[in-house]
Amino acid sequence: MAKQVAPENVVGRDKLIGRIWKAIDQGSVVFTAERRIGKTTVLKKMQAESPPNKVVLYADLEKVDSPTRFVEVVLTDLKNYQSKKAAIGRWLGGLVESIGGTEIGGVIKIPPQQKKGWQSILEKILTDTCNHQTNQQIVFLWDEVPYMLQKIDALEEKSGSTDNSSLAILDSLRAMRNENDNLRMIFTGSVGLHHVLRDLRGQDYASQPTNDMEKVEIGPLALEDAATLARNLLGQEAVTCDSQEPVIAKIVELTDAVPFYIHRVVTRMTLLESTVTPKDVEVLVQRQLVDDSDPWEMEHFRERLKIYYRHNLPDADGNSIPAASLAGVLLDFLALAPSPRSIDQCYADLRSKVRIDNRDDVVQLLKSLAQDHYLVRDEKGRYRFRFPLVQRWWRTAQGLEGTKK
Amino acid sequence: MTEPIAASSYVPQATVSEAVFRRPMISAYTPSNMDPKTRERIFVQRHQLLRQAVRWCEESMLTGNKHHALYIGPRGCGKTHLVSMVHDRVRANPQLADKMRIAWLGEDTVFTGLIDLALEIADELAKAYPDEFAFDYRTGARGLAPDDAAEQILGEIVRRLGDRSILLIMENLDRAMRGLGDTGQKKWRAFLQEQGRVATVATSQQLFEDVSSREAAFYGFFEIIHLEPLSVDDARDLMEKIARENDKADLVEFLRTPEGRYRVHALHHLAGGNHRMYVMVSEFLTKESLDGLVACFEELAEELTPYFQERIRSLSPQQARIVQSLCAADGAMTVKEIAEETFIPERNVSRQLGELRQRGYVRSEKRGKESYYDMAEPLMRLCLEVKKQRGEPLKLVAAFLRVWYSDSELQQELRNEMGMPGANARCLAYMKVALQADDVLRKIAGQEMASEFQRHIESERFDDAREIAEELVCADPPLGLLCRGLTHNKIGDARTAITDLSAVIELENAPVTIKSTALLARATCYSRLGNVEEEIADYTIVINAQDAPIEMKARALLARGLTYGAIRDLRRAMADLVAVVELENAPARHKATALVAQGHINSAIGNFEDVVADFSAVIRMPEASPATRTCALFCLPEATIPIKSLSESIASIRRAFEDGDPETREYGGDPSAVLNMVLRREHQSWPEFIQELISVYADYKALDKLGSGLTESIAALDDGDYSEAQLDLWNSSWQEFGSKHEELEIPLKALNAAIEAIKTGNDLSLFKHLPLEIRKIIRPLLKNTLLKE
Repeated sequence: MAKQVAPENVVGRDKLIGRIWKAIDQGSVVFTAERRIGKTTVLKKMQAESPPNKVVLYADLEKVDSPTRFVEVVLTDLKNYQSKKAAIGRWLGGLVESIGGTEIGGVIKIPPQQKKGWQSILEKILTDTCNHQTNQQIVFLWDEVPYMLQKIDALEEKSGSTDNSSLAILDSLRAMRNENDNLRMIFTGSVGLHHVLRDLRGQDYASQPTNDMEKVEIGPLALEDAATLARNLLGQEAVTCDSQEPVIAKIVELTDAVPFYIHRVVTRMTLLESTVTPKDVEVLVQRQLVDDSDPWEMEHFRERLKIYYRHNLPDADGNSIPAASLAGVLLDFLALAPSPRSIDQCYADLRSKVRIDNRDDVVQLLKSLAQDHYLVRDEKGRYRFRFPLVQRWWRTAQGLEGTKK
Repeated sequence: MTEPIAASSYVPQATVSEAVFRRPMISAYTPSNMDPKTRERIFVQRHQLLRQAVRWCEESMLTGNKHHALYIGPRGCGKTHLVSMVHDRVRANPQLADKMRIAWLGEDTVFTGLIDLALEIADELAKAYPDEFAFDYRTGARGLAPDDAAEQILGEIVRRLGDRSILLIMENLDRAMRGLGDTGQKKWRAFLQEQGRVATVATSQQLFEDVSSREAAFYGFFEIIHLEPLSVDDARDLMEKIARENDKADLVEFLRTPEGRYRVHALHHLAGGNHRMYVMVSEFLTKESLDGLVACFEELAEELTPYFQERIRSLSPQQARIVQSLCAADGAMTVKEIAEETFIPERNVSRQLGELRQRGYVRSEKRGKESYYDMAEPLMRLCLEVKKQRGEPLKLVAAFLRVWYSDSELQQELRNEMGMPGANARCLAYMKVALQADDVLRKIAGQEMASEFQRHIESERFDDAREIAEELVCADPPLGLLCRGLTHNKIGDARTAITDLSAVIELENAPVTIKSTALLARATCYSRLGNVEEEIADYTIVINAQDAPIEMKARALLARGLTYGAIRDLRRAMADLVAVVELENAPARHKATALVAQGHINSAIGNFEDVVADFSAVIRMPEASPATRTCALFCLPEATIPIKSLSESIASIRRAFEDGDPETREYGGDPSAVLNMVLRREHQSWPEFIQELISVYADYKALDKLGSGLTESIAALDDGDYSEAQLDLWNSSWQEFGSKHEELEIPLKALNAAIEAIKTGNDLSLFKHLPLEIRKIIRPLLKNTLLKE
C-alpha cells in the first residue's frame, strides 16, 4: 500500500483482468497471491472498468465481525449501486422495509430482532437481486474474506457460541452460486483461505465450500510492464539516473517485478543525493533486506510459518516435531540450492538433519509451502523459491550466507 | 564572542520565557505557530524528504492515487516542522486550491473510537472551510451507536467534498490508532480503501504495533519513513541559520571556525540529533547568556524527564537495566562491557540490544570487528541525572559549560560574579562544578572526532579529514596537530606535515604515544623529501626514548633497518632488524617483517643458508600476517635454488602456491628473482629447471606471472657474462617447453629478440621481431648491450 493507485493509473494488469473476466463468465473465482502483489489494486480496477454486462460490487470485509454485519454490507453495496443505476430496482427498498431495516448515514442496518435470520435475509437478497437483473451478471468482489471469517469465528468462540457462522456464510454463498446462474463472487485476502478453512472445519466437517470456485493466481508484473512502472515512477519522483534503462533493468530484476517493491525502491531513490546507478539500486535493496526495522516487512515470511504450520509431525522415533521447524529446514536447504530440487532431494535434505521417515508428510509440506507462495514447482516437478527476493532475504535472515550446503 | 560573561540575576523560568517572548519567531515547541518564511529559512537536512512529501501530496490531490506517509522520529526531532513545511508548500500551490481540503487534526486530540476521528475531521474542515463544511454533524447522528454515527458523519463529509480530496495531517498517529482500537482501525481502513479520497501525512514518536504488527489493519498501509537525527554538520547548519535569524553575526562567524565546530561537536554528544535542543540553546550560546543557557538546559531536562521515564517504563527489566548502564557510561559500549556492567548474560544482552535498536532506544556502530552501542537519544542521560542529582547542578551540563567556555573565561566570570550583590547563586554553583568537572565531554568529543578522522582517512576523503583535524586541535591539541600533520603527509604536502608534526613533538605535555607517532610520521615525511639523515634521526629518538611503547620502538627499529638497507648500509640494517627480532614483547608482525627483510639482505650477500633459516622462521610464525607469510613462502625458493636440488626447489615453489594466501598481493612471488637464481646454477641444469618451472606455474594458472618474470630476467642476461652457447641454451629451452602456452607467447618472442640483440650487440632484432610497445619494454632491460652500441 503506502500509495493507493487509482484504477486508471494501474500499470500492466489489463491482460490478467481480461483473463479473470473470462473465468468469471464461467463461474466464481478465488484469487490466490502472495502479499504485496497488488490484489486489492486489481479488484478496484476491475470494479472501475467493469464490462457492461456485469454489475460489479466491491467491498472490503476487514471491518466485518458478524454475519449480520456481512449482510448489511451486501445490502448497503446494493443500495449504493441502486442510487447510481436506477435499473437495479425498486424492489430493494421493499426488501429493506420488509425486514424492518433502516438506513443510517448511507449504511443499511438490520434490526436486532431480525439478526437470527441473517441467513435467510442474505439468501433472499442475493436471489432477488439475481432475479431482478437477469440480463446482467452480479459480481461481488470481496476483499479480505479470510480475515472476516477468522474474526467472526474468534468472536463466537469468545462468546461460547457454537453457531459456526463463518462456515454457514460460506455454505450459503455456495448454495446461492449454485442456484443463481448470474451470480458471481471473487474472494480474496492476504491470509491463505486454505489455512482458514482448515481451522474452521476441524476434523469432522466434510464440506468444501469453495471447491466450485476457480483459483486464479495473481503473479508479479510481466517484465516489460514492471519496466514501464519503474520508468513512470522514476519520472514522477523526479529521480535522475546516470543512464535510466540499466537502472530500470536492475530495479525489475531485484524486486522480482512486484509493484509494491518497485514503488518502495523508487521512493527511497528519491532521497539519494546523487544521480542513481544500478549499483545504488543493489545497495538500496540489500539495505532494505538487512535493515533492523524491516521496512519491507519480510520477517512475516518467517513468522507466519509459526502461525500456519502449527501442527506436529511424527519423526522416526514417534516424537512430535513442529511442522514449522521442518518447513524452516526445507526452506534453508532450498534457499542455498543453486538449482530446483526434486521431492526426493528435498526429502533427503530433510533426513540429513531430522530423523523423519514419512515421505508423504514431506510431500504435503512442500505442497503447502507452494500454496503459500514460498515455493513454486518447475516443469519437472522440482521445487524452488517462488521469489528470488524472498530467497535472498531468507538466506540473510537465517544467517545462511557463507554456509556450505 | 570575546566579551566577558555579563553579570545578571538568575531566574530560570523567567529567563527562558523572556527569551521566547523577545524572539517569538522561532519556537522550539510549536513550529506550526511560526511564520512560514522563518520556518523555510531555518529548515535543514530534510530538503529531499520535504520535496518528496510535497510531490506525494500534489499527486494525491490531483489524481486518483492517494499516498499515506508516516514519519517516525523521537520527541523534538523536527516532525512538526517538517509537516508544517509540507502544509505551507501545498497551501501555496494554486493548482491545488480547488482540489484539496486539508484537515490538520490537533496533536492532543483524544480518540475513543472512529466517532471521534470522524467528528475531529468534520470540525477541522468546518473551521477551515466554513462555506463548504459548516454543518451540524452531531444532531443528525444523535441516538445512533457510535460506529454508525461515525459512518454517517464520514458519509456527509464525502458528500460535501464533491470531487475534491482530503489531505489529512495527523500528528501522534500512534495515540490516535490506540484510541480507534481494532474495530475503529478496520473501519477507518475500509473507509480509506473504499472511498479513495483521503491522503495522509502522519507522524509518530516511534514505530507502533498498530502499523507494524502483521495482525494490525494498517499493517503495510503507510510508507514509513524513519527521520534521521541531525548530524553534527546539520546541527551546525541549524544553529547558524537560527543565529542569522536572530541577527547574531558574531555567532554565525564563530560557528564556522574550527573552535565553533568543535563546540557543536561536544554539544552534539549531549543533545544527539535533537532539533528542539538546538533551537532552544541557540538562544543562549553567546557568553552574555550563560545563565540563560544553564536555565535552558535545566528546563529542557525537566520537560523531557517524564517522556524519558515513560520510555524506560515501557521496557522489560533487562532492557531498562541495559539502557541505564548505557546512560551511565561516558561513551559507547560493547556487548561484553554491558554484560559485565549489568551481570546479564552476554547472549541476552545481545538479543535485548537488537530489540532496543529496533525500537529506537540505542544505535550501534561498527569499529573494527566490534559493535559499539550508544544511546540513540543522548538527552536521556541528562534526564536520568535530574532524578539522581536532587537539586545539585547537573554534571553533564557542567561538563558542557567546560567545553563551551574556556577555563579562563569561566574563572574570570566566577571572580566577577562572586561577592556581587544579586549574583546568581545557581549560575555560580554551575561555574564551580564546571571548573572542577572532569574533562569527560572534551575527551569523548575528541574520541568521536578521532574515529571520524580515521574513517575519512580510510576512505581517502582528505579534505574532510583535515577539517575534522582542525576541530580536534581545539579539543585535544596534540592529537589534533598530529592528525592534521598526518593528513598533510597523506596528500603529499610533506613540508606542511613536518611543521605540524614538529609542533606536536615540541609540545611539553603531549603524551609519549602521540609524540612517538608524530616522530615516526615525520620520519616518513623526511624520507619522502630524500632527507635520510633527519629520517634516521627521528627513528633514533623513538628507539632511545625511555617511555616509548614497545610497539613504537619496534616500528622505529624496523623502519630504520629498512632505511639502512635502502642506502646499502647492510651492517647497520642487519643490526636493527636483528634487534627487532630479539626485542621482548615486540609485536610478532614486526618481527616477521624484520625476518623477511633479513632474508632479503642475506640473499643479496649470498648467504643462502641464513636466508632459508629466516624465511622458514617466518613461515612457522602463527602471528605473521597472511601477506608476510605469503611473501616468505615465495621468497624461500629463491634461496633454495642455488643450494638445494632441483626437486627440493620445485617442491618449495609448489608449497608456496599451496600454502600462500591467494588474496594477498605477494601471492605468486617474483618469478624474475627465481629465474635469476636459476641462472646462477650450472647451465647444464637449466633445461630441466625451465621445464619444471613452466609445469608448476601452469598447474597454478600463474603462467602470465612467469611470463613477466621471464621478460624482466632479460636484464640479468644482459648484465651477466654468458657465452653465446649459454644464451642459446637458455633461449632454446624456453622456446621448446614454453611455446605451447599461449600466455608465454609474447615473453618468448621478446626473449628471442633480446638474446639476438645481446649476441649481435645491436637492436636490429628488436625492430625485426617486436612491435613498438614491446620494444619499449625491452629496450631499458638491455642497458649494457645498447650502451655498447
